[in-house]
Order: sequence, then C-alpha cells, then structure tokens
Amino acid sequence: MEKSSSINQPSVNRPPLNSPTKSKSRQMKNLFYKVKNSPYLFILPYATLFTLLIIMPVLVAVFLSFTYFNTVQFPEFVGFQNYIDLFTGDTVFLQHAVSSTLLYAVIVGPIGYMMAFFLAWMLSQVPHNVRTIYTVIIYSPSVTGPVMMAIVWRVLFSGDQVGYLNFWLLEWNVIKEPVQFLQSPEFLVPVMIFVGLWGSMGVGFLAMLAGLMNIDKSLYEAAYIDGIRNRWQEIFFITIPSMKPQMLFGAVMAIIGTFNASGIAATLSGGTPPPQYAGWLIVDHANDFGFIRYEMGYASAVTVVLLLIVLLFNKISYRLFGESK
Amino acid sequence: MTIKKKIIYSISGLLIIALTIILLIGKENMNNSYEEQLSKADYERSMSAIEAYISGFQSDSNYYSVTKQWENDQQVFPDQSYDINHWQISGGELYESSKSKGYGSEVIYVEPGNHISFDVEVAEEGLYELWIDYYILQDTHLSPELAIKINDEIQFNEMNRLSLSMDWRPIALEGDLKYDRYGDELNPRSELISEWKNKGLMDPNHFFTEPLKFKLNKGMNSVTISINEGYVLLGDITIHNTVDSTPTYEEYSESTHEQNDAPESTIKIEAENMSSKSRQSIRPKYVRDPQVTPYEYKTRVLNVLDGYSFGDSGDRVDYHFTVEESGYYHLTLKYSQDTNNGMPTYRRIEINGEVPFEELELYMFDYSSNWKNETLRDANGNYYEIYLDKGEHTITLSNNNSHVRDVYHELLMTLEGIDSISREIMRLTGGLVDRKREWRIERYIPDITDYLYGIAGRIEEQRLALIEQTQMNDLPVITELEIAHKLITEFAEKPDDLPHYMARFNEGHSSAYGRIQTILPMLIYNPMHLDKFYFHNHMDLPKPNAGIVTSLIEGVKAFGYSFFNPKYNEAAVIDDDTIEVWVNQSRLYVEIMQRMIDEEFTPNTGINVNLSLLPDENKIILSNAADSTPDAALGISHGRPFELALRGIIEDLRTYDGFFELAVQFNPNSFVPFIYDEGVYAIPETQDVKLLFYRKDIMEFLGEEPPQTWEEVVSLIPMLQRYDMNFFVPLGADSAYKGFDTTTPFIYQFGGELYDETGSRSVINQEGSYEAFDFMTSLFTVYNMPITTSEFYQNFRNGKSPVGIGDQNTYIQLKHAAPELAGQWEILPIPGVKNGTGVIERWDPTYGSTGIIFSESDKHDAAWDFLKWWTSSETQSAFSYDIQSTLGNQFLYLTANIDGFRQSSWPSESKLAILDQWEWIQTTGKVPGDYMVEREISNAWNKVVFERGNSRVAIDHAVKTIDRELERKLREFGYIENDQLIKPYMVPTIENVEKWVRRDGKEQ
Repeated sequence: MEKSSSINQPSVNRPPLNSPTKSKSRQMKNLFYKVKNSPYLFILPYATLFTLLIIMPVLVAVFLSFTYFNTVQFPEFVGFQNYIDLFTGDTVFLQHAVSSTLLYAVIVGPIGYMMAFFLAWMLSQVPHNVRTIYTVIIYSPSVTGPVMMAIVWRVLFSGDQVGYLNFWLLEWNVIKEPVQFLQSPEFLVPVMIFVGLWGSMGVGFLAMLAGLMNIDKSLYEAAYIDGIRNRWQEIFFITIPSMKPQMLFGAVMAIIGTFNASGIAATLSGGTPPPQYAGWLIVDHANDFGFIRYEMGYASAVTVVLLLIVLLFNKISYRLFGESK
Repeated sequence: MTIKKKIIYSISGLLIIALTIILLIGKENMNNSYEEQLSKADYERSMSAIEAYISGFQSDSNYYSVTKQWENDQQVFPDQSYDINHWQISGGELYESSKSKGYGSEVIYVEPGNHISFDVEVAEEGLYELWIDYYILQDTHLSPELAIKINDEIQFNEMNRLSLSMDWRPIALEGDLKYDRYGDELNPRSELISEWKNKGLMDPNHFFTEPLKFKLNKGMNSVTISINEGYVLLGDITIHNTVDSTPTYEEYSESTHEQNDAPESTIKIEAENMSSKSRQSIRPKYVRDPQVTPYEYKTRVLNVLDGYSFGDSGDRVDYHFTVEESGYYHLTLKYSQDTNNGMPTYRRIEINGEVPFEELELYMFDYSSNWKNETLRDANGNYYEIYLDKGEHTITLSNNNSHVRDVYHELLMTLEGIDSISREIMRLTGGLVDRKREWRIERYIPDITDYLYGIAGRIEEQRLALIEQTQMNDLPVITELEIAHKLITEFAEKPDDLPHYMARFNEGHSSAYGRIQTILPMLIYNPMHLDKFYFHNHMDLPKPNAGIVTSLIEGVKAFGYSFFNPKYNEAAVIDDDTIEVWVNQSRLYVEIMQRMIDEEFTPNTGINVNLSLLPDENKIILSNAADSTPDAALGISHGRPFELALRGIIEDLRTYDGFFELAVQFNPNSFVPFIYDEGVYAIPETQDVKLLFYRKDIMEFLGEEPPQTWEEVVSLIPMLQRYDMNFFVPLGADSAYKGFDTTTPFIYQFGGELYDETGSRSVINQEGSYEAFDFMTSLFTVYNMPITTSEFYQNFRNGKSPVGIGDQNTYIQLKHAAPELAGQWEILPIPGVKNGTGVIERWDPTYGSTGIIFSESDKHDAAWDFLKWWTSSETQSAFSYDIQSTLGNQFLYLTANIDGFRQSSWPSESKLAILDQWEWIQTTGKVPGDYMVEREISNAWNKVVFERGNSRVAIDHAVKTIDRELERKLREFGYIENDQLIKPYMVPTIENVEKWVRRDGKEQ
C-alpha cells in the first residue's frame, strides 16, 4: 500500500577537484577557483532573490515607517511620530486590530494546526486513491477562500429569514427571529473564526501529510515489539517525533497565515470596515491607512509592528517544535 | 356511581364518536360524489359562474371587452361623415398657413401638456372612427401620445394612451462614411419622415387592424384630446366610418386582369434595404452565412433585416421596388425565425398600401432556425399569384396581434380570476404561516369549486384554440397552459389545499398564474429575420442554405483571415490629431461608442478619438506614476475624481470654454462630489436613481396607497407585517456597512447636515441629523423591520416585500426578468419627510460614472471638445437608442444629462417618476477624511441596533472620532496650522453648489 519513496536524496553537486596547472596565469586561475569554490557563489542565486524580494521590501517598509508618505509626494522624515501615534492615539489599532488579531490567531492557529495534523493522520490511514481525492477536497478551501466566502458563507449565514442557517433554525423553532450572523459584531467574530478554521488546511496540511507518509514503517513494527499498546502511544511516541520538521513547518505556516489574514470580516459583512470594527485585523488596518487614507508611512509602521509580532510567535514555535541541537 | 351508569356512559360516548366518524366520512363522500357528478352541465355552470364573478369586479375595461359589449348592444356604424376644421377646435396654438409645412391652411400646433377640444353634433347614435391629419415635428424622437375623452368619459383604457404612427427613413451613407476604419459596414442612422398624414386612431396594442371606434351620442358630443408626448401639427379631424373590404383570394384572382402573363424576370429585394420603417430601432445586421446576400468573409456587411428588432406588434417596414414586366408573380420570402420558443411568426403583407386579398391579412410563417424560402400559398399548397403592373410598387410587412386577440384577452381574464380568488383567500387566512392549520375554504367561499373549474375550463379552451391555430401541440406555450390547467383542476378537486399551496396557484413563476403570465408576451412577439424577397414566376430560386462544402470553405477562409485581420493586429496609432480615451465600461458599450464617434464626432471636428478599455480604475494611479496617462477617461466612478483632483492629476473643467452651457443640462447637485476647492473636476456621465417600487395587486388587496412619506411607511409596516410581508429600505440590505448611499437620504430629508461650514467639524449629532439617525435606528428597533433582506428583487417577486426602495437595476430586473409580474407593479419617487411648508422632501444621493481630463495631456482642448460632445444631451440620448437597438431592449441607459434623459430610450411610462426623483438629488460634498464620517455613522447605527445602545450616546461618540480624523486630515492638507484653522475648507452643498457650476454663481 505505502509507496516507499526515496526520502531526501541529497543532490549536492560536488565541486570538481583542483588539478594543478602549469600556465602563466596561475594566479588568475587561483582567484577564479577561489571564487568558484566559494560557498557564497553557491548561495548567490538564492541570496539575490531573497534580498530583492524579501529583505529589500522589509527594509523599505521599515524606512517608510519613519516617514510621512502620501503616495504622490516624496516621503518626508518624521522620526518615531508614526509609532508614537500608533501606540498612543490610535484607539482602533489597540482596541480592535491587535486584540482581534491575537484572538483570531490564538484560536485559528492552534486549532487549525491540530485539525490539520489530525486530518492528515486520518488521511494517512486510508487507501491511496481515495486519499488523493480527500486531499484535494480538504485542501481546496484554502485555494478557493475568497470566492467561497462571498458566495457560500454569505448565503449560509445570511441574516435574511431565508438565509440557510436562519431558515433551518426558524423551521425547528430554535429561534423566533433571524439571527444577524454577519451584521451583529458578537456573531461576526465567531463566524469569521469558523470560516478561518475551514480554510486553514493549507500548505501546512500538505506538508504534514507528506511527513506522515514518509515515516519508516519498521519504526512502528519495532515499537510494537517493544510493547506499545495503542494508537495514541503510536502517535505520541513515533509519529510526532518522526515528523518534527513538518510539524515545525506547519506551525510556522499557521502563524504566518493567521497573522497575515485580512478582509475576512469585511467580505463576510459586506463592506470595509466591518461593523464596529469587529474582526478588524492588523493587516486590514494597514490596508485602510495605505489605500483608503493614502498614508503609506503610517501603514508601514503598522506592518513593521505586525512583523515583530509574527517573529515573536515564530520564536515560540521553534521552542516547541525545533530540533534541539 | 353504579356499574350500570358507567356502562351507559361509555356506550353513549362510543356512539357519539361513531356518529361523528360517520358524519365526517359521509361529508367526505358527499364531496367526492359531488365532484364526480360534475358533468357537462356543471361545466357550463362553472364557466358562467366565473364569467359573472370576473365581470363583477372588473373595474378597468379594455377595448376588447368594450367592443364585445357594444356588439351585444347591437350598436350601429352610421355612415355620415363630420369634418372638424381648425376653427372649431379650441386649445393648442394656431399656426398660420405659411408655417403649416405645406398643409395649405391654418393648423394647430400642440406640444406635451396641451389639450384641445371640440364639439361635434351627430345625427345618429353609434360607433365612429376618428381620423386626424397630422404632421410630426422633429423635436423629439418619441412617438406622439394622446389621451382622449369623449363627453368627459373614458370609454376604454386604451383611450389614455393612443399613439400616432411615425415613419423613419434610414439615411443612406455615401462612400467612406458607410464603413468604419476596419471596413465594416456601419448601421445607417434613421431620420424621421415628416409629412402630412391622414390616419385613424388605432389600437395601441395592435389587437385590431382597423381604427378604433368611439361611441358618440345623438346630438352634441364634446371631445377632448390631451397631448402627453410629441410635438405635432394638427389639421382637420374627420369623424366617420371607413369600410374595409378585402376580397378573398378567389375574388381577387377573378377581379384582376384577364390576361395571364407569365413574366420571365425575377425581382429581388434585399430585406436590409428598407425604404421606411415604423421604429428607429428596426435595423439591418450582419450574418456570417455564405448563402445570405451580400456576403463578405473579410468584413461585416449588413445583409439581413434583424428579426429581433422587427418583432414587436405594430412594427412595419416598407420596400419600394420596380416591376419591369406586368403580370402575375409569386412572392417568396427568405426568412428565419430562431427564437421565441418555437412559436410561428405572423406578418401582414400589403402591396401598395393595401392587403391584396384576405389571406395576406395575417400570414403564418413556421418556426425555422435555418433560412427558409417561403412562397406564399394557400392551405392546399397552391401558390398565390399576385398581379403587378409595370412600374413602381411598394411592399409593406407589419406585425399585429389580431390572431391572438381572443386567446390573449381570455387568458387575461383567467388571470384576473385567479388573482381575485387568491385575494379572497389571503383575506381569509391572513397570509398563512401555520402549515398545521386546516381550512374549510368552501364554508367561506361557497362557489370556489365552480370558479376554479371555470378557470380551468377557460384555460383548456384557449389551449385548444392555440393548437388549432398553430397546428402544433408540443409548443412550450401549449405545455405551459396544460400544466396551468392541471394545477387549477387539482385545486378545484381539493380547494382546501389552496391556502397551503399558494405557490402553485398564484405566487411565483411556477404557479398557474405565473405560467400564464409568462406566455402572454410570447404570444404577441413575432420576430423574423429576413434576407430577401423574390417576386417570380418560376420556381428555381437559389437554395436558402449553403451546402456543407461551401460553408466549410467559407469557414476556413474566414478563420484563416482572422490571423491577418487588421482589426486584431494593428496597434492604435496615436498621432497629433488623435486623443486617447480610457473607458471603464463593457466592451459592447465601448464598441458602440467608438462607432458613434467615428460616424459623428470625427467628421465634424477632425479630432480622432481612440477608445481603450479600462478594466480597473487603479490603473490610473499607476499610469500616473509611470507618466503615461491618456488624454481623458470616461466611466470613472463618482468618488475617484476628488481623489485625483486632490493630487493634481486631473484638470479643473470649470475653466474650459462652454462648461457652464453644458452644466445647465444637468442637475447642479450632480456635480457636488466632483468639487474640490475652486474647481469642478468631472462631468457626470450616468447617474442612478432610487425609486419606490410597489405591487399594485397587493396594495390593492391591503387597501393601502403607496406611501409618500416616512410617516406613512411607518403606519404601513404593521399592516404589512400582519400578512408576513415587509417594507424594504436599502438600509436593510444585506451589507453590514451602511454607506452614505443608504444613510444620507434620511439625514437630508430630515433637514440635517453632515459638516459645519468650515469643514472641520461634523454636525451629525445636531437637529435634523440626529432626528434622522434616531429614525434610521428605530425603523429596526421599534418598527421591527427585518435587518437583512438579501434580495429585494426576489422578495418583491414572491410578494414578501411588496413595497420597497430599489434602483435602476431593480427596475431592469423586474421589467425584463419577471414577466409574470408584468403590469402589476409601479414606481414612484421615494418616500420623504414633509417640511415646514408642506413639501415632501425626497432627497437622495445619486451616484454614477463620470468623465475626466488628465493634466498631463497636451490635447486638453480636443479632449474637452470630446467630453462636451459626449455628455451633451443629443449624444447621450442617441447613445441610449443605439445601445438599445444594437444590444436589445433590456439595455437601458440612464444618462445624467437631464435633457438627454428626457429624449432617451428609457421607457416613457417611468420617465416621469425618475425626473421627479431627480429633482431631489443631494449628494454629499467631498471633504478630506470623509470616509470616517461614513463609517462612524454606520458603526453608530450598528451599535444602536444590535447592542440597543442609546442613539444620543452613540452619535456623540461618533462625532468625537470623526472630528479627530477631520482635523488630522485638514492639518495634513494645510488647512490647520498650529491648531488654528487658517482657512476654512469650503464644503460644497446644494445651497452653494451654484457658485461652481453656474456662471456668476446664480441659478439660471
């Protein structure tokens, strides 16, 4: 049943051996080989792309966060003013954006993560053909997210008395009046978390599934000989330790995914901002300042704060799942 | 208690139970037997019962039923004739003979709103026709509409809406003008043929081909004619009866010439070359089919008469042709009819203005999705022979509904019957919600079974009539009637089911009612594509369809050419005379716009215009950064010009020549959102409208008038809720974000304002604004309106929200996607608030698209000329006709140019309501940071409605947040320095908008 695919076959190109030469330009050649053999050359393509696509934007954002920039005129340096405003004057940021983001991340992150693992583990138990189909089904929400949100969830949770959920609840006499799932702030946040969970089976889930498939069968056999008694023990003593890298990857993806989420509440409720800033996330806040109020400097400051928060949580997850050296 | 007693009690108890059971069963049985007994005699009785029932409540009468009544009364058609000359007519304006356009004597000029009246003394009571000499002036493109009253009485409904027929002539284009830049042939424009005509007043619905009859009493009769539409010169009016005697074919062939010539020549008439037509939008089109003439595979050539444009009743086209040899000819039409659900189509065929013989009064053409040569013939397959003299002749094809006159009206009657039964049931059950409850309908409406059988019988009769007429019994129209019949019969068998299954009776499109209502338009729609006419005497005509080989070769040729077609290859060349315009509109619209420009604007001004699609407005900001903005843009959303103006990307149009002359054609308040500082930065192109939609049938049932004020709305709501219905306001749509479009109407109607005059503070917590806010929340908290209604259109259709506020979209949906509601709904301006002087203020913001000019462009003047031309009333109204005639009737265009709208193709029955509502445009002026006002009002509303907060507290809190943001933004833009307001920010409002858009700042 299990396809024993080769794991992590290292495909490292070994540098050709240095052969002594007798030509005059020996020095030049030496230099050439020095460069050629240098590990920096090896990482150059990656380093270039990484610098261009990741480090540069981050640095630009950090730089802009110290300026006033209205997208048309040249940025004007204002020192820490944006950060001061952010932490002292911006009630929406502190009251709504940060707290909603943390709430959302703390619930959707771990639960989504556990669900991803649980589903991946269950899938690893079923036959191959069926598994492919299930994998596609479970993975698809994270791809079709925004479209589904606008069409499926809005109709399901519609506050109209003919919205699906309300219709059933009314039919079964659970409620007397339609519940405003998408307009009332107290319902909007749970709905948003539910939708977030539904869409959280992303790349992390796929990685975990791959990790599960690659665990050596003989480990289980050995463990049974050593006296493991049930599936729980199997999971905790064999499965999880064997797939730590994938678990870590999943955790990092979950954290980034939840902190980077934006616009869910707005899409569900039908307009930006959502009612009383319910479910207003940090990225929403940054978008609001950047693209509605045209204050790019301030928006950059918000994103820098978000970056720091994400880094902090990543540190925590490394503590939990990282390989102990 | 003794045992004996116990036994007696139990026995008697059992007996009582048994008795009831027997009684119940017996009653059921009686019912059943009654139904079984319903025989022929009962059927007759049912039919007369429903007849009496319907005529009992039928208040409005159409010409059909009135003529029936007259027939029963044996009214006569006297043959005296009475001439009314202009001096006997009072009203209108007398034009002397020199201005009479060749009438030869003085004439009367009338325009919309005029009334004319005259008295006529007739010697004999009876029915008369009214013939009028008229000349239509070219002031509008709409057909003149009259309403007529005789002795202050409307004898039938049609008298309210009579129209005078018009003739249009396609203007033949010469040489290059005929083709666009890619060599495609352009649709010719049409012009009105103004000439004196003498016509009898005709049935506007074209169920009758002869003129309408009016009943005149013996002695003096006063006749009043009001003109609702059109600018017309009137000559003499004649009251008399014409005798219409068309011979049968037998008589015709006997009476015509003895000599039996058999001319050799074949006369071909291309159907796309009409000489005249009754409507502007009847037009030719291109079909890529090698067997259609003319044909080109490289370019578009107009080669057929577009059947979709030539399908409404009353449509007429004329062709002139020359006959070389006198003699008998067959007439063949090459046609196709590929729409309207397999229904055959009908044409009345006239030669030289007369139907030659009876059989051509209305000739039936079978449904055929391929091209077909139909040689006119009788039922036995003998071809008709039509005698034509040598010389000029005219052939006329027209549509009318005389073939379905009876079926259509009978079905209308059944609809009325169904409607009224459903109303009685509603009255009884009160819009039943409880499914468990059972009803004994017959106890309350004893004759219900009779009525229902009567209705079913009528439907069946009409079905049989249709089968006989079309000789087909599998048409969708017929199946629909069959299903409707079945549904009604089921209810007749079990009338007690009615309250539970209204969805099968009269609610929605799958009910019996909905089904009949849906087929009615199909009955009177007669589309027909025409390629060619042949007058011939031999039968070897070219085949109507191309063979497989030819089609294949032509297809390959066309496919191959598409790789070299300059249309797809040539990038637009921008030279000095060309301006580049980006348009945020659908491709279909842009193509029509480009065509109009090439045809009209470029020849007159020498300015070439190159339109490009702009799929996303954000591209403007990006292209500005890349320094590649176009010269102008159209279709830009209403909020964008301010943003662009603030950053200096677009031009202040106020400084351009002719701005004020153009601005007069618009409602000045439409400009409010485009004002920044001293300038006006955009010209409105389109604008939406909010209207009150209401279901006539349901309001009538409730006995309520549609509400005019919010007070009336509030008193209507409990009434609606009693029947499980509701009122709809856009504030209760399914978006949780309540934008300005939903909130400002209330604020302005209650006399509130958003900002103080410096633009640095919000005043939404004061006076009218607070009142409005309080009302907005109490609609949901106190009056318990549903907070979310996700689809007003759906709810309107199924009767859940029979009254509500909708927009242009709702109108189009209801008009074109809800055929079962046709004629059951009306529009009005939206409800408002009565102010101190007793006027109902109905303020509402209208948003739409706009046109702008970019500062970077070096062709400002050319771009302005273009913008001026495009937004002018003539161009806008012409565009509205063009899109409708090219794309179809459902493509309605709502231009912001008020004059242009008046003349546009928008259905005239709703124009008045829209114009009324547009008197009340009040859009919010832009202020930096105003997004905060919008969202804080929304948040405050949410807080009050969902958390039952105090509205005063909520709004005061909102104001605090808003003021902070406004101040911050004003500081950012340099209006506030060192905490001092150094210059006020001028907020444009409806009070001061004239300063910007009227010369000298005064109202003109």
